Amino acid sequence: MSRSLFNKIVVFCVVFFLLILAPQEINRPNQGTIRAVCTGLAIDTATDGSNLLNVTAQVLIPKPGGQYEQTISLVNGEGANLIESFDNMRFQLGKEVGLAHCCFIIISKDVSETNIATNLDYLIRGSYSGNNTVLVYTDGKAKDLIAVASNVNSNEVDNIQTLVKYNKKFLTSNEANLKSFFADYNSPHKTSVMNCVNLNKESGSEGGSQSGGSSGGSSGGSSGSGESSSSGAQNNLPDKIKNDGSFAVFYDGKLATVIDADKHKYFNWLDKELTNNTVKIENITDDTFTNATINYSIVNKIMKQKFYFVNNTPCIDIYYDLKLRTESIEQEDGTTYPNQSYINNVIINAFNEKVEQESQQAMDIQKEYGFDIFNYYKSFNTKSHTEWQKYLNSLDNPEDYMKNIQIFTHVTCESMI
Amino acid sequence: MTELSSRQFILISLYLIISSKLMSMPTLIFDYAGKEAIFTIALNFIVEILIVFLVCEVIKRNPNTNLFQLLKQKFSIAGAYIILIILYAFILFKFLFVLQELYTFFKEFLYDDFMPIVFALPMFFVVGYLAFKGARTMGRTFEILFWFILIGIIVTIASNLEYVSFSRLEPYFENGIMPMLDGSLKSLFYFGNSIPLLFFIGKVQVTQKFTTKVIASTVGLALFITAFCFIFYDVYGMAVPYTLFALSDFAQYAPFILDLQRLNWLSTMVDVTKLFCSASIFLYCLGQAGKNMVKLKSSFYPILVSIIITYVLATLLNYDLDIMKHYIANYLSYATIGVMALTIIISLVFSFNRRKNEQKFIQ
Amino acid sequence: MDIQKILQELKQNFNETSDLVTREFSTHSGEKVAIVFIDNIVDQLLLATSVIKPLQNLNSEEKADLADTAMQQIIAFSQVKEAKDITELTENLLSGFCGVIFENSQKILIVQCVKWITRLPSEPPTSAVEKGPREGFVEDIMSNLTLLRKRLKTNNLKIENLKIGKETNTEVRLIYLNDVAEPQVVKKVKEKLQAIDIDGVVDSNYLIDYLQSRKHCIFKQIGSTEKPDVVTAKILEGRVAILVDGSPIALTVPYILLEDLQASSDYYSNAGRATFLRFLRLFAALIAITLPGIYVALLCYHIKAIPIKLLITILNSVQGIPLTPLLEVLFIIFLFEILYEASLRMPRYMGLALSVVGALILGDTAVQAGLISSPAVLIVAITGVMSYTIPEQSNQISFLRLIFTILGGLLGIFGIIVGVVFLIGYLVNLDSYGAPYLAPFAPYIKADQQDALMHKPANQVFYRPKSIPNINKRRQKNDRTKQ
Repeated sequence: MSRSLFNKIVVFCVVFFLLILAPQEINRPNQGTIRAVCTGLAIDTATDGSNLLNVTAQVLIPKPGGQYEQTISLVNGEGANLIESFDNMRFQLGKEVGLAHCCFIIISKDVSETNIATNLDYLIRGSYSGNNTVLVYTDGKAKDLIAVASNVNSNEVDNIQTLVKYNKKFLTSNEANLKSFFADYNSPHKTSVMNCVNLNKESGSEGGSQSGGSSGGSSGGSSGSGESSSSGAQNNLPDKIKNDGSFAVFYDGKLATVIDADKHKYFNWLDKELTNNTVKIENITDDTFTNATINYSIVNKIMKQKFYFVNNTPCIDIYYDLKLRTESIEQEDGTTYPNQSYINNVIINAFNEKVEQESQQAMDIQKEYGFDIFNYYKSFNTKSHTEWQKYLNSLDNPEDYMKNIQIFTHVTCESMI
Repeated sequence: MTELSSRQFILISLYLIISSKLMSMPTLIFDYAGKEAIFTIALNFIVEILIVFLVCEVIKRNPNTNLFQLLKQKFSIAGAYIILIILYAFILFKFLFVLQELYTFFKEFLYDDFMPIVFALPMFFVVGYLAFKGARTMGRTFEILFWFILIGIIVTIASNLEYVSFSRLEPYFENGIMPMLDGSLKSLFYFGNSIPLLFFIGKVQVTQKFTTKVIASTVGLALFITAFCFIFYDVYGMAVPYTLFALSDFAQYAPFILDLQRLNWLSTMVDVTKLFCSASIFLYCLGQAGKNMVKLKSSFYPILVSIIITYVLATLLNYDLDIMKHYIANYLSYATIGVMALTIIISLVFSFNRRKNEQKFIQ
Repeated sequence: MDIQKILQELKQNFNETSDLVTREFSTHSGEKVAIVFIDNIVDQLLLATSVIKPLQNLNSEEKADLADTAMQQIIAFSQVKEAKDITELTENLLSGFCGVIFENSQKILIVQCVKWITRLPSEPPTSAVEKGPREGFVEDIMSNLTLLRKRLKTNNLKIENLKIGKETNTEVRLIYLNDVAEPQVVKKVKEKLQAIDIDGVVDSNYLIDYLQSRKHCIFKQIGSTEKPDVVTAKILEGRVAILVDGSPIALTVPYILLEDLQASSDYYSNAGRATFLRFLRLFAALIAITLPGIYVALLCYHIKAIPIKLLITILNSVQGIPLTPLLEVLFIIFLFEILYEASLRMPRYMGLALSVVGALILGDTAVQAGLISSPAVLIVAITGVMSYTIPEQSNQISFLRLIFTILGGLLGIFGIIVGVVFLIGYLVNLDSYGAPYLAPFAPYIKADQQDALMHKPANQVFYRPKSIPNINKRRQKNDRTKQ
């Protein structure tokens, strides 16, 4: 082929292409004008008692001037499912709802009573939102929570996510997201957990009333734009939003129960990763102390589990190797103990007792509701597949497999200065 | 005349092999094989590596000839035409698949509205240019892009490494090995990528330990892809079926990305570039096949015709990747078995005869 | 010889030009002599003292030819030769020679007493160095040859003379090391130069179009520099240098893209620092080419890929801007290019004021007025600055920046990928006298990586680059081989 023919073909292609494309693409506006940047979602059921979903989106309203200033608006839409709700929002906004920057999704109690997987399916399936979007459960109305979150003075668009992420010492933290929810939902144990964030009762009603009719309205914050909200998020949101460390457990897509902050600590014992609990050992009476209370922090936790069967009963031996640091020693008589650390057999025994008691309580809660947060199903199935299947077959309802699982804890402690 | 250095040939084989294996393949195999998908991938790679090995031997033993001449010599003109037509059809589907995969990727992940013509014209222009300019241009281009792609893939994968638990999919083989074999059969189309390497016979400057180097890099890549799939399956667990393209879903997962916010999609873009590379290799092979079949001096018209056929097919399929996946699972993967067998046979024939000739020469 | 006839013929040859000076006089013994030269290019004082006066004082009573006597005993110039005919005399007069015609002799002498107006070698404004030689080429080819000879004191340095330009008769020199440069390259360059049939060569850049293989290519295919140390280094690597009289710019072939990434200062500073700077230059060039395109693509098509906090700033900035992102960035790019062009052309004192006014006042006012957004100004300004990290390639980078901006605006990130792949595919196809354009990266040449992006200290570079065709690979003895 001659070079000139080749050149002509190339020129023709380029000109043809430009003719098709240039007129419309040159005038293509920035996507911000056709797409509202949604930074958070709240999902409730409709207030009229119908089965409709009421979805509130926290969207960013650009403000001319070139400053870093977040102006957030709440938009509300109702529909039989998320798609319809977003369609309704689109009419209000005059824009598409862009979910790519959605940092969190708040799910209210009333929505959680039905299978939320069917509602969230739209979000995980497409590429509309990131599959690492944090899921948050709230006891009250989700839209009240998101309204308060948008209204606080030092608002950041990802405030709820920041708040949740701050809770590193709890087993939900940042990893309770869309992907993990669906991965758990589709696994045999069907159990997933979510952070539970609520409104503070005193100010919650205030916040709720402020934002009750805020659909489509603007409730922008104006200051504190450069502040970091990663540390001490609760300080940033002093009165209104409360994350006390409780978490919600979902079984088969539905809310099973909410575990409060005190009980949350029990569950930390059964988790391999969580180490920085503070443990309070009370009533220590030995050669040095009488009725003393010593606070220890766990610097390092090595946890080994052994899964086995005894007479068709699944058993778990959990071995802990703890490195402790003495944080504070409080004595009844007010005397102080000058050494850095204090640990002896009495304390080790007390630890053993405490760990056993709290782990057992965590197990009991799981047995009561029939969920399996730590996926023991997989552990037993992997280690002793045949016996596990035999065990499941022996049950009237194989989904109740948690009820017979026994755990035994063994603790060794060491002091670490 | 040799157009490629050994290093460039190795890169071409790597681009071919990795082609779409980090995109839609992992999810698809998971659909077929379930948790055993990782073993399916490993199993299929054995076949792929075998083909690479055989083709390397053919290239090594036949330095001064090309595929068409060899085919004519060993299988007569009619046989040569039949084999070329089979290879042409197979590679055409490969090219079509890459095209559809790329289009779907852009449409799903990055564009709200993406007209097929807007995608096809620039894509064909660039891929056609590389294919038309020949193996030397492709080899050199891939050498430059190699580092960017490598960095892109490593950054993408590294972002998720801390979420790997290595046990999320256990226990394996709960349902025996049948899911694995079934998956292997249905996904074989993805593993026939080394077949087009036949078109590089006589174009490679064979250096010392040529086969060893090619096989070592292929095995390395196979291990890398298998490891990636393992990590991907492990991170996503039972949520794998919800994903569309492994690499991009993987890139956007890591929880800390929420702070970083998706700029790592740019690293995914770099990874997507490798699909351009593999598409250009497929098109080059189509051009070579067409050129030899019609006895033309230039591969321009065969490339143009191949582009038109592909465009028409893609339009008929409405650029729908799901339809393509359906055809792959039900027809193309089975056809791949035949093409693989054919490749193995002709590679053995070429290698064996050459060895006999060499022995005669020594005597 | 009839002096009058010759002078008449010469005047006709020169179309009765006014600056052709003829002077007739007699020797002491009464023999007529004429001298002829072109005014202003000959050192007249020297001519008077070394040619005219001795000839006037000549009292020739011998039978010997006066021209021979003058050449051997009288004329005190180093270069005196005999012109075969009027044509040769004419040519030499143009080059600053003076013709001496004797009535009683059949020979015409030509004496070189040229005096060109030339400036002293100074630091070239386009390639200033922090440390290193500050000499630069000047417009006078002889001075330039001196600068090169000073650096290459070897009998292997070969200089070939050529004259190009029917009207200008420009002196062109082909310079290379006989034992290093690839003869095929030399032959090819010479053939290309000899085939030139242009009326005049005003500057060495005129020759570039004849020397490069791709005629309509925006990329530089011939190396050019104003620094003799750079030319010396390139000749040492096996390249051929071309000097053109009247031009301070030396051309070198073969040329590879890497050359412009290697600044001369790299060789005069720490190797580690040089490596870092090369990576920096490459990074800056890549950013300069693609950043405006990526910005437009992200804003028009993929805002979901922008981090949220950056997105907030950008969206606030572009809110209310009347232009679309593509038009906005194109507008700013054109504005910057116009400012650049105008500041180059304007008198220096005004140029400075213009750049300050342009960059500060215009940009700031436009942002304040809400006509353009600050991120777009920032991006174009940053990329403008970055493009000058490789000054020799700044024109190409500016052009590519424009292309990639349009691609990003029309096609989004897909367009950027298409552009990058095509650009690389196109560049690897270029070939300069047997040297692949993107060598030693494509094709990858391991041996040449020692002075590619990584820069090894001079005592560790034992071989000449394989990317450049040459016939003598070894540069210095390897320490290990010495032992």
